[in-house]
Amino acid sequence: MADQDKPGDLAALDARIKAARGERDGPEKDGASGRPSMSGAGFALRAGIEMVACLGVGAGLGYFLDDWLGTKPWLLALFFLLGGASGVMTVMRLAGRLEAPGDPGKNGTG
Amino acid sequence: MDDPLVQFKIKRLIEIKFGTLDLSFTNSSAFMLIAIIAITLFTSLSVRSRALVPGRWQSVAELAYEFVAGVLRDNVGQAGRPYFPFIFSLFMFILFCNAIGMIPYTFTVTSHIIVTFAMALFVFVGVTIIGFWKHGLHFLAFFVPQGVPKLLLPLVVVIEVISFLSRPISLALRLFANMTAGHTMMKVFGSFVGLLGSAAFVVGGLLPLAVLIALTGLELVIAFLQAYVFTVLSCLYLNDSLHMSH
Repeated sequence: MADQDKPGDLAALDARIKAARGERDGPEKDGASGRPSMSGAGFALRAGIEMVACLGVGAGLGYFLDDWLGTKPWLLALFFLLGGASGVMTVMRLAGRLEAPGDPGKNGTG
Repeated sequence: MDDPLVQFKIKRLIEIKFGTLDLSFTNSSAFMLIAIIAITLFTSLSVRSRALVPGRWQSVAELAYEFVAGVLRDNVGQAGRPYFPFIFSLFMFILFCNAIGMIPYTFTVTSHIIVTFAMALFVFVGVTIIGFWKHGLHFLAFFVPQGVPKLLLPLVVVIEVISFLSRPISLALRLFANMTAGHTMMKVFGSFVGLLGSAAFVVGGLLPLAVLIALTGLELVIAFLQAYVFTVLSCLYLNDSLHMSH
C-alpha cells in the first residue's frame, strides 16, 4: 500500500498497530477461563485416567503410612476410600460441576 | 504373529556402567537425541533467512511459536510469559518424539512411563516450587476449599492433597497409555495384514490394511493431540500456582 508511506499516516499506522497488538494480547487476563474442549471419548478417557491416578495415589499413600506407622491394614483401607473420593471430586471438577478450591461463592453441589 | 510389544524393548547401544549404575546409551537415548537435534535444526534453520514475509519453513516455525504462545496466553495469561521457553521446549520435545515414533522402525520415546513420568514430575515439582515462591506459605490455602463445614475440613484437606498428588501420575499415565496403546494396535493390525493376506490369497489382507491406514492417520492426530494435552495441562497447573483463586 503506497499511501501508507505518507508521514501524515503514521498516526493511523500507529493506531492500527496498537489495535492489532490489543487483538493479539487480548484484555489483561487473570487466569484460565475454561477447560480445553474435548470430545466425549476424550473426556471419558481423561476422567478414567484421573480416577485411576487418584485411587493409585490414595492406596499408595495408605500403604506407605501403614508401613511407617505400623497400622497394617487400616490406613490402606481408609486412604483407598479417600483416593476414590478425591477421584470423584477431580472428575466432577473436570466436568465443571464443582468449583475449584479457593473459588468463593457458588454452591458446589451442582 | 510377531510380538507387538517387542517394539518397546530398550536396547543398549553403547554400554556405560559405573559399578551398579547403568548409564548405557540406549535406543531410547538415541531417539531423544535425534528429537532434540531435529528440533534444534528445525527451529534454527527455518528462521535463518529472517524474512518479513516468511517462506514455507519459517511459516511452520512461526506457527508452532504462535500456537504455544496462544495456549500459554489462554490458560495462564500475561503472568505465564516468563515460562514460555520451558512450555515451548516441552511441547516441541513431546511432539517430535511422538512424530518420530510414527516413522516405521523407529522407537517411540514417549511410550515408556519412566520418560513421561520424569517430565510430569519435573512440571509438578516446578509448579509447586513456583506456588510457594509466589505465595509463600499462603499457597497451602490451596488445599483448603472455602465454605466447608469445620467438621469435614480435615477430610476434605486430605482429599484435596491426594487430588493434587495425583496430577503428575495422571499426566504421565495419559501420554504413556495413548502412545503404547496406539503403537501396539498398529503393530497388531500390521501383522494381521501379513497373516490374513497369506491365508486368504492377497484379498484377505486388504481389510486390515485399510484399518491400518486409518489407524495411522488417527495415530498422527493422537501424536499431536497428546503433546497438546500435556502442554495445556502443564499450563493449567502453572496457572493454579500463579493465580491461586481460579
